[in-house]
Parts: sequence; C-alpha cells; structure tokens
Amino acid sequence: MTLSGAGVDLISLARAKRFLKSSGSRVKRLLAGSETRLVRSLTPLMFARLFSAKEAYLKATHDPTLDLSDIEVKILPRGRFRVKSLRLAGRHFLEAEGCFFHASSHVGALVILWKP
Amino acid sequence: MEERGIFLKTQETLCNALGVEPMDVKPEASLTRDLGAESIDFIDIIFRLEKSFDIKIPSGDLFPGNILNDARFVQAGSVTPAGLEELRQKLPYLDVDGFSKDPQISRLADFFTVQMVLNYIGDRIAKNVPNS
Repeated sequence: MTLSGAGVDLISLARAKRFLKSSGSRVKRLLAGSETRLVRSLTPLMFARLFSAKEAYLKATHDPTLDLSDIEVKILPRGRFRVKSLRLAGRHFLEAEGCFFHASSHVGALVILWKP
Repeated sequence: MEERGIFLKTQETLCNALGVEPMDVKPEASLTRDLGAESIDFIDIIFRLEKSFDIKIPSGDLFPGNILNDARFVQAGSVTPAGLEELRQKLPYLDVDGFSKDPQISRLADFFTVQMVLNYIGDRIAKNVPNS
C-alpha cells in the first residue's frame, strides 16, 4: 500500500458549542447517513469530532466535489474513527481510518488515506 | 432593502457569528485575517445569513469550499490561470483581479471580505430570490 493523502483539522470546542446553539436543525445539512440519527443528542464534543473528521477527510482526498454531508463518520473505540464518502468520488478508495486528538480546548482529527 | 440596511444586517450577522464588535466589521475587513473566522465559522455565517435575509445559500455559492482541490488549479502553491478562471466563474463576488496580482493559495482566504458578502447578499436581494 502507498500513502495517498493525509488531512488534519482542528476545531475549538467553544466554537463548536456556539455553532450548535445557533444553527439548530440546520446542522442536519452537515450530517450524512447514520449520523442524522444523532442530531437530537448531538453534544459540542460529538459535533467537534464529526466536523473535524469530515474536514480532515476532505483535505486528505482533495476531492472538490464532496460536501460535508457526503462524508460519513463512524466513531470507533479508543479515539479512532472510520470515515467514507457516500458517493463515488472517482478514487480507488473511499474509506479511511483516522484518530482524534485533543489539544487544550480544541479537538482535532487526523486521516490517512492508503492506496491499495 | 437598501444598501445601508443590508450592511447593518450583515454586520450584525457577522458580529454574532464571529464574536466581534461592529466597529471591526468594515467592508474591507477579511473574514479570516481581520475577524478570525475558521472553517466552522464559514458554515455558521451561511446559516445565519440565510436566517437573517430569508434566503437559501447553495453549497459553494458564497465561499469556495474545495473547488481549488483540483491539481489543475493549484501548482507549487500558486493558483494557476485555469484556477483563477474557475474562481471567476464560480465566485463572481470574489476580488479575483486583486488576488491574481499575487495568487499564492495561502493568500486566498484574505480575499473573503465583508464586501464580498455584501456583494452577494445585495445581488440576491436585487434578483429577489428568497429561497432557491
């Protein structure tokens, strides 16, 4: 396997909280697939994780056609996650794994894409 | 809605989204460099503008998203002529001529200004397209 891309994103928890409070039901527009079930129970931490994972995946794939709502994040144990595009993006791989990290009052996500 | 009204409403929206003072929200202010906007803030700004002006802002209409992720558009850290043309087509409210004088990709976000937002909102209201 060869490394095909890497993406990192960081988001302030305070900003995530402010965004959730003001956006209300509009936050659904950023969610994909099974994530939409979380909308009523979405905490700032959960949202920060989803958002940073999606942004990191976008940066790793360099796919200009993807929106955040096209990207589905599945949280795994021990600070890891699986992330994939829900529609074809013209690449050989659509799924990747990543991990979260915490720095002060921020949450970050790192995604590595491998080409088989 | 007249120009002054659009400015005041946009100013209030940006103040609420970014946690800044009205005096900071000048037309020439950059959303990132001067007002501290991050990636989540661009989405927040769009949602709040939609609410303030009762309009729907399609994805990529106001801010570029990932349109420059294509390798044809950015090479060696600079936006190519093809990339500049893509910006002109997709983001007519952006000052692409100003950016093209030194089209380093790292500088692009500096051109997302309050004036750009005002131009977009003014145009949408002039076209009288409330919800598309």
